[in-house]
Amino acid sequence: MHKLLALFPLLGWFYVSIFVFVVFEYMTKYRFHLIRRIFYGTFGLYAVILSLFNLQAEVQLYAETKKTLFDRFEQKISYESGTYYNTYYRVFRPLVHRGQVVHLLNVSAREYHYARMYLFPSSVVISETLPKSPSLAVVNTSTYASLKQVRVLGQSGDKYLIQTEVGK
Amino acid sequence: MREILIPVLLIWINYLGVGSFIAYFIEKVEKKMVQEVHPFPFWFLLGAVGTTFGQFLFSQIGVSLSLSFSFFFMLGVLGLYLSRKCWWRRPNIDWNAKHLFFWSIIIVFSLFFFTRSVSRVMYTWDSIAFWVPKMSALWSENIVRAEALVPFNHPEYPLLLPLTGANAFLLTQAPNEVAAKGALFGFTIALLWSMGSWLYTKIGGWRAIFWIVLFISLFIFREHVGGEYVGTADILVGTYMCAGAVALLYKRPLLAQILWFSLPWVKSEGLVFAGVTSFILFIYYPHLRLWMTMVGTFLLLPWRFFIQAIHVDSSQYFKFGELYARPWVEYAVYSIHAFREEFRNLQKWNLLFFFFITLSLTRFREICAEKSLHIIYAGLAMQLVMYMIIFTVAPEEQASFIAAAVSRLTLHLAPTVLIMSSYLHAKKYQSA
Repeated sequence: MHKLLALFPLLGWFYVSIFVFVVFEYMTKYRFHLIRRIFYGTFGLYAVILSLFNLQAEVQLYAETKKTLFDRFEQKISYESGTYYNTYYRVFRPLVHRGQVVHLLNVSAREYHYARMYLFPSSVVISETLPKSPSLAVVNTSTYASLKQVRVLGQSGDKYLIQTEVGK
Repeated sequence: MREILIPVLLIWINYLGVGSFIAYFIEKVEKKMVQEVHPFPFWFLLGAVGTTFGQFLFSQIGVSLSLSFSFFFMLGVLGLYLSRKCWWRRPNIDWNAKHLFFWSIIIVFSLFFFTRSVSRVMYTWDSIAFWVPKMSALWSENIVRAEALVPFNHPEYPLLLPLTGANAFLLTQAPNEVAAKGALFGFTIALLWSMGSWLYTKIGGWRAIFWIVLFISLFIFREHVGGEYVGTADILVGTYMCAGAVALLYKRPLLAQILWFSLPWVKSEGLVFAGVTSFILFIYYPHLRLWMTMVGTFLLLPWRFFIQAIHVDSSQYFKFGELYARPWVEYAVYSIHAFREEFRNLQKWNLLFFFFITLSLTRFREICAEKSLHIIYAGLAMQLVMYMIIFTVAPEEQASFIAAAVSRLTLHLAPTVLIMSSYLHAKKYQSA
């Protein structure tokens, strides 16, 4: 018995109500229409109240929506991903070609995903250090300042697309 | 916002037209027209699959996406011409204040969802990791080939969503994610329209209003159609499941089967539901077996062959080589409890599953007695069992995997669950 009682908190009023109602329906062979109406009426009203609160929340979200609704795409993408669209798609993409591998140094996973998308069909890899062999890389200003014998192919903000000739 | 309206409308018209073309032939085979339901949502869903799957097939013989899109656009225009008599087909119902109120709710909240969706670009982690990159790569390559899929996560995922996005990029001539979101919103309209037609014609009155308000207010649904919840393609799985269920309840088994066979083209998880329902349909409708076999073979095999040919894993979940010893019983029990908890999460699902479980248990005999209900319930049950198996065997840390996935997997079932609940509830009152 105590094991059955222990099920109560596990199931909660949600499953217990269902269980009691279903047993009642089967035992009474669906004869008590009034009980059925009270059951569905009560929980239906509860569902309507919850729904109205949710719909109110949806309507209230419009205040946030209208701030950016009529902005242009370039503005909207900048709100979510900063300068990635401009840096990687507008500036760096025309400078790289299919089959080339671009090494990204000191970037977050999020920036890596955007770079991988915008630099396609070039390949993009995250690197800890610049490779020994000549290669393409995207570095930030502080890393660039410490490099020698590199050629800058493009720059956007604090990002440089460089061609290394000797690894550092 | 304004720059996306024309591309989005062109894609919607294309999908509607191609869908009407396909529906024209389905109606010839089934020798039946749906007089009491709006055809447009079914056209849209059929056309979306027809266009994107056709673009994938044309790509395999070297036809570019832009050329195949133009071809399907012309086919769509032809389809709209052939089905011109259906444009004004209306369900046989009286217009009254309740009816107007019912559709006003759908239209007003669709506008809220649409504006919320297009006010931001896609930013959930799955969008950034693979959905938008695939759209961008397919648009950039202008053809479906392995190179456009393999660099990104989940190359095995099918292409309904990426190709719809790529078509939007094609028409805006930029990787404009807002246009892609606008085009994808057509699926939400199709879902609400098909559900609305069903509820108002078959359930009617205040009860129809109750069910549609319950569905529209669901937190997980609102977040998905607003583009603010991880699992960008999951609402599309729910849409096709629900549309197929509505078609079957209207006694349109072939249409239902085509919509359900489209599920694996929406997302891999849909294969279970498609397989189970198609198997039972195959048994119950012998006169349609040839068509069902042809449709199934046509929709399932090419993508499977493609996945094999480009040497990527066909599933992320069933990696039996990576299985390690686990306390299997505890894992399975935990998976069951995950759904038990999910169903009673009122903040996410309101009382949807409360009504569904209650009605399913109290109307068990009626479910067993009606063919359409067998099929839909078998599909839902197997899909649920499959998710529990996935949660048990997937080579990932179970608790965090469940926390990340259980709501969006439940969303696959939710629209069909609502249709079933409304139907059983209406039946109950008729017989009471």
